[in-house]
Amino acid sequence: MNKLVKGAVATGLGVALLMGGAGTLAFWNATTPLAAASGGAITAGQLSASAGAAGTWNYGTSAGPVVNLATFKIVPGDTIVYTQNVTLTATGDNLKFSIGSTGAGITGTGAAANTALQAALGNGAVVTYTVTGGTGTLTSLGGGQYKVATAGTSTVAVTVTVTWPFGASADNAAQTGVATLAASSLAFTQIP
Amino acid sequence: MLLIAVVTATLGAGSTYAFLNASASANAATSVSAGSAGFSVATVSALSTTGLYPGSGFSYGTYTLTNEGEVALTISVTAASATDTGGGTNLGAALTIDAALVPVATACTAATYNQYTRGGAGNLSVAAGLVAPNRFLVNPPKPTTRLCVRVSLPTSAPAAAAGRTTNVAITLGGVQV
Repeated sequence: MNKLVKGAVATGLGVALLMGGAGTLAFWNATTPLAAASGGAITAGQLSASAGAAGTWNYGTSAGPVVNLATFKIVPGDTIVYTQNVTLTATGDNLKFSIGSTGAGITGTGAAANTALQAALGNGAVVTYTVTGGTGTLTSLGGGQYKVATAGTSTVAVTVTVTWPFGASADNAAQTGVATLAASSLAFTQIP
Repeated sequence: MLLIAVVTATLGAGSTYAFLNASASANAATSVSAGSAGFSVATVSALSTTGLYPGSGFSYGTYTLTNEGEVALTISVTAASATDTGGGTNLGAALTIDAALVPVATACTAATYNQYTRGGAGNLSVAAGLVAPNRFLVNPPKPTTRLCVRVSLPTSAPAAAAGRTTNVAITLGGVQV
């Protein structure tokens, strides 16, 4: 047997020895960290609201004479207005929300004059609001819907209006009646 | 070959998606009380038909009207009658009856009676009336005005009116303005 043949036979035997026996086959792997900008903290946005200082009731408009409802007697033709600010905090790159109101119903029970007064006052007050801005800015989407343009706080001026229209004919049923105006609040609800 | 492991985060069973909301109070609950419309009449000096005779001049009655409610009122005469005591209308029908609303300080003998005459046009003064009290005050003063009534027996009065007594009744009404 010549040398070349001897060498080849020896190599083949060596390779066969490495692969035989009770050992396990291995595979290669490698790891590479992602770029630093793709990791880090995730911060959630915020939608919160708080009532400002207690407002006042005024006659006619928010600039009219102050009214003390404990002693004031409402009559046909009167309008009384309550005004107060709400502070809204809204942060979120794609945060959109709607503004609505709850409450402000008027209820008169018991004596006929009370129920007549409830009807005369339209069964409830009208709640409206105006967004007047602050450290944040909101974009109006119409229909009471807004989108956060700049994160921060906004002032929302709330107005609650009670009206007793002056009618075309005499109706004395509600004289001396007493009705209860329920509390009201503004609701801010995220929308898709 | 480089193998990149893909990991998918899954929600636990039974979770629901959330949305943000907030609320803030506006007005607190409160009572709203209604006012009323009403007025009273008080006699300062009563009208007398004693001693009247055709052409004798006028007999005056002075009254104070007080606004007892919360609204301004126009005052009008809704009825005026003169009924003879014992029946009949010989005297009552012959009387002229005039009325006027004047400032409280005005004497009825000096007032101008161009606002109401029984059987005539006009029905007191819409402009004068009774103003509303100041509802922004606690226990505000009640506005008042003066009602002057005068009667007379014209020279055309029938003889049958002589010696008779009649009761003059005037009913007033107030309407919110």
